[in-house]
Amino acid sequence: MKIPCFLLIFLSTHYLYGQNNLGARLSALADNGASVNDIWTLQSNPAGITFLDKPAISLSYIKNLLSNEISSQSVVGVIPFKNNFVGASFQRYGFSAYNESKIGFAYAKKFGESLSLALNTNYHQLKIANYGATTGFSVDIGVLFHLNSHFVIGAFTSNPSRQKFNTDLISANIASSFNIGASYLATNKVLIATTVSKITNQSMDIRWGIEYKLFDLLSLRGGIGTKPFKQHVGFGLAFKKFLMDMATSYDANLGYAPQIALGYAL
Amino acid sequence: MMPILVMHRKLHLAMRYNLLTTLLMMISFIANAQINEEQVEVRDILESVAENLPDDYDITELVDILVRYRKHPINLNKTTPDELKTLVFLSPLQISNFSSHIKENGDLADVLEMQSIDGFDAKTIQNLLPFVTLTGTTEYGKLTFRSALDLGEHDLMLRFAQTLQKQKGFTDLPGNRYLGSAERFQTRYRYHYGTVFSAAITFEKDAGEKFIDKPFDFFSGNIALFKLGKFKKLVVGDYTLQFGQGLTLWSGFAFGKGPDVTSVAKKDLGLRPYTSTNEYSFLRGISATISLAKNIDFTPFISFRNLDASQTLDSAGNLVQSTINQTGLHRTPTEIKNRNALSQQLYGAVFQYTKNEFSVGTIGYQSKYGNSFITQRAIYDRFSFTGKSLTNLGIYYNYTYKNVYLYGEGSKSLNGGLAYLNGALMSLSPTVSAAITYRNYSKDFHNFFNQAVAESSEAVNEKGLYMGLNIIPNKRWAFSVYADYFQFPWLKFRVDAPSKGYEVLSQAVYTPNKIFKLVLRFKTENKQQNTDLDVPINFLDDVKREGYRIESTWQANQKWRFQNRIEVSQYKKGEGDREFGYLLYQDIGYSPLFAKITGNLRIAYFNTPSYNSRIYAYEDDVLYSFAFGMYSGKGFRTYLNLKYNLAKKLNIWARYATYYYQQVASVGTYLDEIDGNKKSEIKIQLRYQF
Repeated sequence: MKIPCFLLIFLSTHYLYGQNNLGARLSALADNGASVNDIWTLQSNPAGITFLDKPAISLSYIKNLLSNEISSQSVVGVIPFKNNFVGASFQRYGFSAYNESKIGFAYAKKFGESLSLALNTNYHQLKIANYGATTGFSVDIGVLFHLNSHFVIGAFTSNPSRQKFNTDLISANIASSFNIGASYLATNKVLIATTVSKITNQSMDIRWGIEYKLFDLLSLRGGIGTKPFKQHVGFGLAFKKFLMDMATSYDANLGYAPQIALGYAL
Repeated sequence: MMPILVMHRKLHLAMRYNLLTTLLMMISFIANAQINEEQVEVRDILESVAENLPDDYDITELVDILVRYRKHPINLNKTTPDELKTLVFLSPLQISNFSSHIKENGDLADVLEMQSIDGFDAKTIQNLLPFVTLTGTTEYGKLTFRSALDLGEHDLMLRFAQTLQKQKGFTDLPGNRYLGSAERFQTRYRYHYGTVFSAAITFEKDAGEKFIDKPFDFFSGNIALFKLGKFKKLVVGDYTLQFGQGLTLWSGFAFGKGPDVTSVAKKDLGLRPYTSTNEYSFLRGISATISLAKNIDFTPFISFRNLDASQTLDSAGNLVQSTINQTGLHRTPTEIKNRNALSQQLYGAVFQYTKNEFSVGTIGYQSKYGNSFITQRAIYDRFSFTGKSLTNLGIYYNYTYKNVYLYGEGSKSLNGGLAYLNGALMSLSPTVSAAITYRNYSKDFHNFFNQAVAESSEAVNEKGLYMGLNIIPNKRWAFSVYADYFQFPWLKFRVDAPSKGYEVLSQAVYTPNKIFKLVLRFKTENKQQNTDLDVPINFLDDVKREGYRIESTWQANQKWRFQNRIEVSQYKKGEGDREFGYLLYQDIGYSPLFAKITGNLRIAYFNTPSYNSRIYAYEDDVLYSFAFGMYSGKGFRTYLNLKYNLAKKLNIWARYATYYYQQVASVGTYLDEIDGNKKSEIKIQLRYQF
């Protein structure tokens, strides 16, 4: 059990903070959160929450099949006040000996129909057995622009000021990332999204995702990421005020990571 | 000797993936040579998808088809799905949608009506226009000896080519050397009587081959009849068979992954007369497609051939071989000795049932060889075919449901493994289409006529998932992207462990107006290979290849056309250093309306640190000849093509192409080595249509 855990941390830890738990919908779209409207963009480009006209909440759970011990839990909520939006997010990741958590507060504002801006502040905590705990603080900034009814472009940066954990005992950084995305709503049934991400000290990642609404009730999704190479697939059910999304990603080294998200909008 | 043969075979097979590209290139060439007047920019679309093709490969069959459609366009109101399948740029889903549209709405009154058909974007229609019509007939009256003489069309082509510098194989070497002369000759004759009768003869002599007892090393020909009552097709002589997804029975060329993501779904053309100069991939004998009942076609076939193979004696004194040599080259004493050494007999049949949007077929055939195949020495090859006789069975299907085209094939070699693939093409909206294919080919799947979609050179020992998207949001932009993830459960050549990898390609094409076009392309590939380090047991290193391309094309006016390209390649193996190579070229095309003389020119500079970061680029050539130039090392490349219309039906082409390498003492390897830093080739072609 320890070996898979080590592997998972070893292979994924350096981009954990850059790539959050984005909920099952965005995850099925290959973590395309830069230019898509979704409550889970609180964890990527928070300007993406400005489509909401009612308060909403969503819960997510990710399980990595590599190891039974490792999981990630997350919850997000947004309350709109006309053109102003406030959101809160919490996520936890890890297993008994290694534990990361993050809490975030976001504020987003809509400027007319096309432009939205957002600011998100995060408080991080990292606990490693026998090493102790450390905390850190970071800021994300996002922008979303609707070119027309079909095209949306978005950009966000995570921790641009390169804040670090406040101890020398654990040499982990809070990752800084820069992301630009575009999405294309071909019809009201087909959404295609792409993001180019650059996390400091890692190669540039390009991701594509597609969502196809088969009926109003059911959507199918898929996506790919290039660095590291990952495949994503998922589906979503929308029933009255409830949303249920399921997804899994597949990484050649880390295997499958299925996840579920449950959402409710007032 | 064996490794070289194996290498040959692998190289040869490796070409297959890039055939879509080549084909597209080919259309582009036709566009250039034949349809320039119509301003059809097919060439551009196609050239933008150029991928590496390690050698020039004869895909005349497809050129023939398109050149003929240019002359005798398809009547869209009378066409059949089988006929539309021969147009390479149409996807099976588009063909299916087209047929249902005609069925529901009746004849087309205007070609632009196709815009209302699901999946027919502006580009597809533009590609289609030169080859289709709405009126007129391609049918002729009853075939008689008299009418065949009067109304038949003849097409004769002669080609000569030679490398100007002397290659080492042509000098007085002891042992292995080229016994023949350095010229290459090709002669092709085609006869067509409408769409009901055709005949073809092809002769070829490769460089280094002797004029043995007959004037040409390779001779191929056939006579074909179509639409004879119950007999839909009948071919006597050389023919090809293409069914399903190419897992069980597919000879001739096949397409694989390409920037047009729908190309992974193969369009089988069934029985066709063979007209190419490729010396391996065809059948020789007789075959027919017979309509047994309204929805059932029956295609029996029989073939007798002699193949090239290097043979050894086993302990009982019998001749045995482990591989077939597919190059068709007979230049050295060894190659001549191996010529026609192995007899191959093939017989079998295909039943196909087609009703409305559904089609299913079964394939069964047996091949018998004159001598036994034995297990190869290499561990990676230990599951290959052994014995004298092989039976292959397969079943394939396709079905269109609304905006989804489903297809697949399962195949089994008796006493060997199973292989299958399933996929779907989906038209998600008028501007978005998607493709997905899953494949699983076992390591002991044996088949000599298997050309299914694969990352390896053969569809064996592989699992993979391919996903692609074509997005054409408006007339100015077109995007495509595909990702293929693959695993090889058993060892491979230079890969001493099970391995895996992926390939991602994305492309954006921007066409702001009719005279300018910009193409951006990015491709990344990651595979595993034995380390280069000297270790007791090889471990696998990641081999990463990336390519970036920017290309612009400008049609300055009706006479002049300019294209330039910058391509950067990157190569990295394991912890080794990153390697960067680049290629820059400028093409200039001159083709005034109604001019007797047309031509084009390229000037290129390339610089790659090694063969690993080499770059391939399509090169214009004489009609029917298609090649990708390999740009490896450091130096200049230039070529000039000229076409002169001697008379209305008589054309002559000339080509001069040369490489100047910098800082080298010789060019090429082994018998192809040339002293000095130059390699030039001259080509002359004459075509007479009467």
